[in-house]
Amino acid sequence: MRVSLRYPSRDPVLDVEGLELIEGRRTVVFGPNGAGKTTLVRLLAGTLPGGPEWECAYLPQTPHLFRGGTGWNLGLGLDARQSARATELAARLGMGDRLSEPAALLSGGERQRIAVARVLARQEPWVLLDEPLAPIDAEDRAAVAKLIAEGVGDRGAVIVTHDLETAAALGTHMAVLVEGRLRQQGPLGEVLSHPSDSRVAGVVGVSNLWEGVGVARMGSFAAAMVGSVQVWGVGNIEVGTPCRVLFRGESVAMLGAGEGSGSVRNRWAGRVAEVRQGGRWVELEVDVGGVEVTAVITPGAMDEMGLEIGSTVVTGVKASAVRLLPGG
Amino acid sequence: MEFLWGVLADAVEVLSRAGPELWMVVALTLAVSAASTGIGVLLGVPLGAALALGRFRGRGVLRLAVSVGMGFPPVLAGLLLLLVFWRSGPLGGLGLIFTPTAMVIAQVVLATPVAAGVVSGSIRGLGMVPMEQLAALRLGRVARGMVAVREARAGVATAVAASFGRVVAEVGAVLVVGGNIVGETRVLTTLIVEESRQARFGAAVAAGAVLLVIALVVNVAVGRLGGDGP
Amino acid sequence: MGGRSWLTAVLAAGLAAGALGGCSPDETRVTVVAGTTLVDGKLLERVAADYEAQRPDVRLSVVGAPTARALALAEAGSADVTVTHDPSLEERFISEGRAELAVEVFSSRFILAGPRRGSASLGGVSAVEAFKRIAEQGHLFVSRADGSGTHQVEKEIWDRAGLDPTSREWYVETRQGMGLTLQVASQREAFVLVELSVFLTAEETTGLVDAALDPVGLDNSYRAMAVKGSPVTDESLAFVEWLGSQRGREAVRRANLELYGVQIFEP
Repeated sequence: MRVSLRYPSRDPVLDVEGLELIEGRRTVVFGPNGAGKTTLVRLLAGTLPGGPEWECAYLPQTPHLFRGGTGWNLGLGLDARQSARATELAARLGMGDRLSEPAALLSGGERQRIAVARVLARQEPWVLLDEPLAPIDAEDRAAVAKLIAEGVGDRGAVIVTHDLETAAALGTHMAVLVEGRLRQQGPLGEVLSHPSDSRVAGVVGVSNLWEGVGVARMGSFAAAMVGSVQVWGVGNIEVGTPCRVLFRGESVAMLGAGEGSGSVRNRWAGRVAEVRQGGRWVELEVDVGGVEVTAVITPGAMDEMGLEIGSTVVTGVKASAVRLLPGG
Repeated sequence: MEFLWGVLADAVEVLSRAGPELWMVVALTLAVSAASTGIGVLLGVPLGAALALGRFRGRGVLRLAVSVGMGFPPVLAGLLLLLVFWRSGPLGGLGLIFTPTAMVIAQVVLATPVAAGVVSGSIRGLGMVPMEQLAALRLGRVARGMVAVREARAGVATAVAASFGRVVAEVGAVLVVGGNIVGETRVLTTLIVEESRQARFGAAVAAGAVLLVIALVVNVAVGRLGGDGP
Repeated sequence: MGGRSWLTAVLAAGLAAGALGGCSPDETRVTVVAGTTLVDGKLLERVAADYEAQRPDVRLSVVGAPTARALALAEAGSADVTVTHDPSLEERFISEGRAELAVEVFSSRFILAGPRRGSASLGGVSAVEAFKRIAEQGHLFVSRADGSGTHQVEKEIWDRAGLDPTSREWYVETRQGMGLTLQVASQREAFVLVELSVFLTAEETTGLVDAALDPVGLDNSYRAMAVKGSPVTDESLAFVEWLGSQRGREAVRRANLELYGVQIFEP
């Protein structure tokens, strides 16, 4: 489905042409603060006039619990079956024994959990989430993200965020919004690793996003296999379950063949497959055993190492620069 | 000063030997004000919620009507109802003129816009975040209004206090449609008018003191219930 | 227009308004407290205007009050002249030596007004008889009950009928003026004792009719009194004398004609 949105209708601050929303996929609308993301989601939700006529569940940016019990708030707008589902979701988010308390006593993160459980229990074919993880403490985000992905199920979703990890954890597709205009859209990994222009790159950065399977855990670190490549990173993932691997292109070092490892845990040998010159930076695509690593280096370093298409290199990323996120 | 002390002394004396006649006036004042406040709030709260939340044709006109109604001159309201209820008028057959019922109707006309205006204002005053959430809940009209009114509970308490304040202190409408008949339609305000006109200042001040106490007690009580004192 | 001249204009307008509303220093103000009927019906206003035209140095302030209160005001020194209609109260006032001069100036009469149906059977009977029948039937009766001259006359009729209607449920006391009392009677379809001029003025809106009683005992005579001890005794005396004089009577007749087309308050 392609959606065009303008707001306000005269001299629009937000003017988006052909935003692609795919049923069964979770599209992240990504952009910096002030890009018009919340206006966009409000248009989609129908709380601002001018959006599409459709049925959607909507989690506003700042969920509000009304004066009254937590359980009462959880059930607002839901029928009996949906209420039961919401209660179950709230319990999984650790709110099971808080439902009899007045909503006013809940912290920001707790309110968000109630609101998330409530919105996921709804049954509209589309789900709109505005910064769903922002009020959640960093260490809990993975679990909440997992529940959101599960709760959305095979429905379509639009997730608005300015946070790369939230995007990587929740999205399958991404649309980049800058100053109220749509700059790029496509599958998440593609947009992250191949920003269409420097403006998008400036906003999103250049990142690698891989799909893999967890294989080991060690303290706060874990390892995943992506194709034939093993990656160590930070994250709370289950062994044997699908996961995502996220690291920025700037974190990738070119080690040269046979160079000492130092503290770099992830070392992958490969061949330069593509070179994209971008003014102050150069993006390299390195094929490491069937997996593409996108690296961002300075033109100086490139000349120094004499890199060109076909060169053999060893790429390295510190495990602490890699995020492992649950989900598929 | 001597004159004022004399009036005050008279007032104290009137109060100290206040008989059933005064208490009947007090009772009617309370009954008429309470009934009209109650009905006014029952009508005004949903109206206010609809004005604050609803998008329907004629909302602008209704909003204007409420604004005008909040400042509507009571004596003019009284006059219009007098014409309507006059025996040869459109609703004359009901025989309501110069009865407490007519007084209640007049005061409902005065109280409803006040209640609606206050409730509408306090719902709109809830701010962007609760309103966005309310819209996101996809509730039916009635449920949406009920959640909003519940959230703006302090506003409802203010609406009760403001409506009661308006009707209990009001003299123009009840005088015109009630007639200030002894033992039937005489309330504290019309009693004060009558006593002042007859230069029985002590009695007028005594009635005024009772009126003041009633207004004060109701305001404090409603403030307590609403949870927000002034 | 500059700021200063604007201010000057406002001040000038204020002063002009003050001069119009106030009393110029060479006029003498005489306070006339009169029965509400006379004031509400504007009769006394007309007569006063006539008098002022002849005596430009006198300004008459006409205030309406029920008779008992008018005399109380006179006692308290707040009235220079009274025009009232309760012979017994007036005679007491005179016997206490409070009146410099008392003159009977004109008289109208009271009528019993009531709903068309109930009134038909009372035609030609005496007031006492009519009141008896009303009480027997328990028909609604509205009383001013305010100590006015009208109320005094009504009480006397009940006394002569040997009845005490107060606290009977068909007897409504308004304790207010004639206008409101007549309205209540009209809206409740009740009987009411009312001065003829007031009845005629409001006849259309009230829908009540004159029960056409035998007029004996229903006349309503007004007495003007110059109050003793008034600071403007000379002017009060002159006005009261004038009211009783040929010229005063003519003024009353003229006012009657203008207001009612017939002589209601007959000098």
